[in-house]
Amino acid sequence: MISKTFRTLITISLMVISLGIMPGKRQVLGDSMQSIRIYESTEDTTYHTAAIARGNQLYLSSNFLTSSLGLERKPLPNGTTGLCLGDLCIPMVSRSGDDPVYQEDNQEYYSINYFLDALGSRYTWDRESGTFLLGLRASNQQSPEQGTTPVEFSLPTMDGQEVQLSDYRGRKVVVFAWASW
Amino acid sequence: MDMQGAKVAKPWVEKADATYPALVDQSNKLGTKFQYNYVPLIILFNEQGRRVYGPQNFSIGDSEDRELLTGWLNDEPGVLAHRQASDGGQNGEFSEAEAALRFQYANYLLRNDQKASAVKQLEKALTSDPDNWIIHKQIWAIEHPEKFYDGNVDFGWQKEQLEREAQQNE
Repeated sequence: MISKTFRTLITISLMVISLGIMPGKRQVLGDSMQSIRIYESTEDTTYHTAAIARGNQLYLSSNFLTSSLGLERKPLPNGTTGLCLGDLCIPMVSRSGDDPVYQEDNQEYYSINYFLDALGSRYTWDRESGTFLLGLRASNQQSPEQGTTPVEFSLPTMDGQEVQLSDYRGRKVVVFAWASW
Repeated sequence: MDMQGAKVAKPWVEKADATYPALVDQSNKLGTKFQYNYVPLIILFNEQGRRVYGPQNFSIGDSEDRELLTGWLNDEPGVLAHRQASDGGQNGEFSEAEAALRFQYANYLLRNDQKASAVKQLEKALTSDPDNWIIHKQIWAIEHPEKFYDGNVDFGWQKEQLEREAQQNE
């Protein structure tokens, strides 16, 4: 016989497990602090950090955002503050009822998907592995339309030498993409 | 394009005795930038670095493809415009942001010896972008390396595998 208290605990646990961080969903991990893994695709690096999910926002500590992802809170000329990646700042003002800042135990937490949404960056939550995947510096912007502006990219050769398209300026370039499979 | 990197591509480059630079795109950087979901294909850039053609499927064994390429390199007028009009919109799109992210994460996991987790991420990426042949074949290559890297690529097996998957999805 399972006691009522134990049944309640199981129900709460299942509720927490069934919630996920998805843009547009109101409930996420719950308000409790959880340890998650973050994969940042432009740096191709993973981090472990504490996170709080409230509403449809995932909050990470200001310390982590600054030390690991290079995001800093800065005053803006109009008297508000912004969350900034270098010179690019997103004003930290409440939108759609979600506050970009959350305080707990004298520590500030900033919404990461608030910033990513404003930036047009990619992100997704892999619930199964508890990993938040994001491309902080890779926006959803597509490559320039054919024939408009010069394109730039770089890739390594077989022995690791980095080659840029602009190395071939003044010459026609044929890029042939293939795989061994 | 191989997620497994230079070591699996090198034998092919050496066999081709390539005189041009062979670049390694382990994380599908160009596929994401130019939004393609299959290979082989070409992208052509003019002297100013502007993209003038592609991504479009390309086979050096195809006489029309060879004519296109030599015509463009020899400054034949209108050669690309004619082909683009007839190709109209055939190239696929690696446009699913989630699929692209998961592909990159799978690459990271594979390099860190987490093969099972990498395949899981690729399977989820394929769910987001089901027509993406780069993801599809990469899963096969990780799960069945003997069909890809023990000498020649076993295209007969790939055909059978497609039939098996079609039956499973029915």
